[in-house]
Amino acid sequence: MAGLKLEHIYKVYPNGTKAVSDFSMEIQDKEFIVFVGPSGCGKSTTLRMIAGLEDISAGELYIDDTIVNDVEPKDRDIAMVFQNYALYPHMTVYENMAFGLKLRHVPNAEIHEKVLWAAKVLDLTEYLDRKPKAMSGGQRQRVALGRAILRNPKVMLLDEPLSNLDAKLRSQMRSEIAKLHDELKTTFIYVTHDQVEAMTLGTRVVVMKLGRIMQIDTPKNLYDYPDNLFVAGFIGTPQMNFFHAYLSREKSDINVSFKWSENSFKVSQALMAKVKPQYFDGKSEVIVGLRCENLSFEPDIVNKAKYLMDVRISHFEELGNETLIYGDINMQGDGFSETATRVIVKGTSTYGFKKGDIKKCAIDVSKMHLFDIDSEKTINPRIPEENLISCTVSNGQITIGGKTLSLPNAIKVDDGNYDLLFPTSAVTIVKNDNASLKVDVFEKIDNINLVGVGFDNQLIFSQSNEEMNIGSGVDLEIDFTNVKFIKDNKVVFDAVPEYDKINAIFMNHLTAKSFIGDKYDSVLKARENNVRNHYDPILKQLTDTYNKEHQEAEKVNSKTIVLKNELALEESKKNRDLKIAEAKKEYNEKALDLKNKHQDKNAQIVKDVDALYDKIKNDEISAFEQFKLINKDKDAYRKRAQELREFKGNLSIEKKNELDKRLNLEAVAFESDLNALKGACKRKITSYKKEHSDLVDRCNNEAYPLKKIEKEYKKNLKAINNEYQQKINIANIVFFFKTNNFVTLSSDAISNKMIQGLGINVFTKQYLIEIPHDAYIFADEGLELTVIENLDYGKKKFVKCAYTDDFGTSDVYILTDKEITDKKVIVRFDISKVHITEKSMDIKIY
Amino acid sequence: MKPDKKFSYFADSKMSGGRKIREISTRTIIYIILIVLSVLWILPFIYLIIQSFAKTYEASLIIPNKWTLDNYRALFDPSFTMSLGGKDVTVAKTYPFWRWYLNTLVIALVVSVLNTVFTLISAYSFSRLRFKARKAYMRLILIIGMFPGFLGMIITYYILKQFNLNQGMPALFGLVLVYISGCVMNYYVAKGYFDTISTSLDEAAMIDGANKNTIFWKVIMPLSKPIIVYTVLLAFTAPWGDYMLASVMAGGDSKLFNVAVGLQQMLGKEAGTNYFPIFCAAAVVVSIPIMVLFFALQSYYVEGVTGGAVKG
Repeated sequence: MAGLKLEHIYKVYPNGTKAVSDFSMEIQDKEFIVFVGPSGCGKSTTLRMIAGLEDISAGELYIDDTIVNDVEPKDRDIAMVFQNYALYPHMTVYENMAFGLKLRHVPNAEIHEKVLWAAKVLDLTEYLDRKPKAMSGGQRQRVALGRAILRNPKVMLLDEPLSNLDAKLRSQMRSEIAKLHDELKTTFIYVTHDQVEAMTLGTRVVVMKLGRIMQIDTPKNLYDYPDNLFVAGFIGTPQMNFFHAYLSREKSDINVSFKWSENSFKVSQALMAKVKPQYFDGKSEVIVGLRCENLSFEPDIVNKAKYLMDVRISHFEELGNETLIYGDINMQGDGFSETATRVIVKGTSTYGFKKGDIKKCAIDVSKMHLFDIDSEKTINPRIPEENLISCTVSNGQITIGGKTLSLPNAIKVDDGNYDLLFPTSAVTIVKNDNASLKVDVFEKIDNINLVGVGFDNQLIFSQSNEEMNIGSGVDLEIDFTNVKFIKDNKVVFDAVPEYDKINAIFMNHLTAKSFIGDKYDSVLKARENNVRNHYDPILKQLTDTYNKEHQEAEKVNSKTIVLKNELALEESKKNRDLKIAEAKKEYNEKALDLKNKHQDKNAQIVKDVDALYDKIKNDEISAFEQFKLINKDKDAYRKRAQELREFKGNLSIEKKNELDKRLNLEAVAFESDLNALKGACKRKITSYKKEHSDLVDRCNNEAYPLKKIEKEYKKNLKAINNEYQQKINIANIVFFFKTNNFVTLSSDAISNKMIQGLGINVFTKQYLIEIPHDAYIFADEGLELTVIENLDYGKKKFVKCAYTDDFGTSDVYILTDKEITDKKVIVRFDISKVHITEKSMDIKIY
Repeated sequence: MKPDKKFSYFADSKMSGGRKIREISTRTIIYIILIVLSVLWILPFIYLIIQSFAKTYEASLIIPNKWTLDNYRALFDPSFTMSLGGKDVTVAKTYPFWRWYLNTLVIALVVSVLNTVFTLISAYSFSRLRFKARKAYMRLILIIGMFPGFLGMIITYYILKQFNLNQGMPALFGLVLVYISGCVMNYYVAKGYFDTISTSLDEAAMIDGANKNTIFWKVIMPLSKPIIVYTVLLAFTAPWGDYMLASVMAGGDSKLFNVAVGLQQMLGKEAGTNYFPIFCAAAVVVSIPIMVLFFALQSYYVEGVTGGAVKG
């Protein structure tokens, strides 16, 4: 039972295809996570990477805060259920379930108990001694589930477990899996392409497409607040209706007019408060999404509705409990093909409509979704990430909707009108009852407090730590380092980028030596000494403990103990043999009994079939005799006689078939009964043997404690020595990054990730190092930068510098309080704060 | 279950007259051809068995005049003397058949066990492990396997000579080495079989805690009985009937002959036709282990052992 963390996981195949790109998510303990998406979207690959069946190309996977990238599947404490069950066909259900525990050397008694428990949970007790081939699909999948739950794993992985079952069984197994999750209280990760399974089972659902996460959310939120066009179209049947439309501002309303259609309606701007104003120009196309249940032809609703559109009815699909009405908002459209004007409406009946009718359709605009046509992302997000507002700059002052703020010195723009683009995180809002600004919007979404402050008819959004009331006064502050000034769709003054970008290559110590000489040899020495100081005391303590225990053990008089235990052992051995003989005898008796019964049954079957077919034959003959008596037509008689001959010919074949069928059924039943008996006997015998051998082990340990102590000591010593040697080896390996002509030591964490992610290719690639502005340290040796200017943003002060390398010149911003007057500065950077990306395949490494 | 007579009547009535006759006659012809073929195949063997009981060899007689068991006794009993072509000879001393038989049996058994293990292990790795140059290596083995083994016989002999494995009893060990070293060439059929076993079984076992070794022996092997039987039979019959390599390695030392090389001596010029019934007896004895092996393993040669493993 544990949480999982996936950090920038990539799967890249040798030919360069990326099956999974930048998969990051955190899974809480006891969650039921469902990966869903069309085939080939990388959901199974991700699951298999979690299981350890596929290597992770780059990124990190944590189970319970331990990194498990290089841990064998068996040591990850996970269990997996496969789509095709993957049961061992040569083993019985019992053996199938016990196999994993046996390999882990769990005591037999415990295995037995656990198997019986799992069998009881899954209703498999009667089938324990059957082989998989004698079971149905549903039962086999239950066995596979049983095998998985038996070990009480930290994480259960299920790879499309229900897709081989028929519809009825599937829904039954679905509820069974839900029940299982409830009972086991462990983390489940479930892969499916079936959205019904995803929506019903998951506490959270991950929607994937082409190896990328499209959205992670609860099923309800996925349905109500899709992040993008793909999720909107993928979740929900029938699919959401998508229309192309233009938005334009008309006073305080927004006019929505559909493309290729006469339809349009006005909605109040409050509904679209979070939509960026740039979409309201009447020219940029957007996609409007409306689910079929948010549209209605119901006369009562249509009469009262404020928002209506004309639909030309094309056809109906009557499903019994509901009716899907197909139509087109384009009066020339056919309503059949999936176009941007086709519309599907859910209704209770056909309302007496006919094909070709043009009817008014009511729209529930509160459930309307809006998407950008190019990025396909929603433009009306629940939690906006960016603000776009217009303002006027004059004399170092900025005026937004009548309110004036002062501009920091660093921002040098001409007076005039601008659009400002900045993230919501750049805005801080603090309660102040005396302030003139008022809260216009407040929403609590999950744990986030979303606050909107109105400037005329523009809203600035921010996330706040405290809850606020609408109408209460607040102070608002904008961090101008993150603000972009836009004029005529061109950025006039850019924000300070989040990171500075610097190119680098990665190298080992030997290569680095040609640039830096022996400078780092002392570092290596210190690293090695660290390891020695850690392990030497551990080894000493181990030996001391061993010596003490050894002395104690030498005092034990083996002979007396052997004599003492001799009787008990003899007794146990006798007891064991007796019990085994008894079990064998019991088995033989029962098997013989079974065999006799089987033979009796066979005889009975032969008798039954004989009787049955005799009766059929006699009936047919007597029917023919009767026919002969009353019939006068010669042709009919001939035909009837021919029929009888054919019938007699076929009868023997049919009789044989019937007999074979019944005998086979009986044989299968007999086999499985006999197997059950055999299995039970075998289990008994093993447990008797185990009992005895346990006792023998105990006695041996008591009589000769020295052996055990020595063995244990040697084992521990070897393990520690191995670890020691390994750590020493690691301490002697260091790697370096080389930028321009500065070589800097990489940290162990980074080097590990680099090598784990890219293997031997690590030295041949180019990397992009992204450095945050606070990671710089002025030094004697490092990156050579040309100072451009000092930037004063009020609270933050930067020095803007230019950095030139083979790839060109880029800007570097150093966060510092100092005013730099020199033309050149030399800085180092703190490697633990940077981000590293592989350039050619765009893989985030650190 | 009551048969549906109406249905059966209409269905069968179409198959009356010409069609039925045609079908019967086709079948008759097929059976006649098959019978003739099987007689042709089995006749030499029956002839061999019959001749092995003949007192003297008469080329024109299929059924001998006099029956005897002496031919068999002469093969194994060194104290048994019989008259051949007017001379009294102790066959078991001239031709130490018992020795040859033992040589061959030991070699064949050892080779069949080791070959099977190596072939299956390599086939399994080709099927399951992904390593560099896997495909190139597989193709290379396939192409090398197409050349007859005796092309490399001389160099093989010299290599064994370097290890002093060309004389006396070590030569037999050398022979075993040579037989085993080429066994991986037969990986193809077994690999094809392993490919049909779903890899999710391996993966399930991996998650259950098995390493590659455990997976191979505990999961894959029990499912591969047919292919094991096939491989064992193939690996046994190859050294059992081998002539060329065995005769080179023996280098004329009759103690080191295997049955194929030894029996060839009986058909030599000096032996004439006198030894023919004894040769027949020996041939019958030689065929026994193969038959025993086949019948013993036949019961494992059942299909459908993988039933129920994966979806069905």
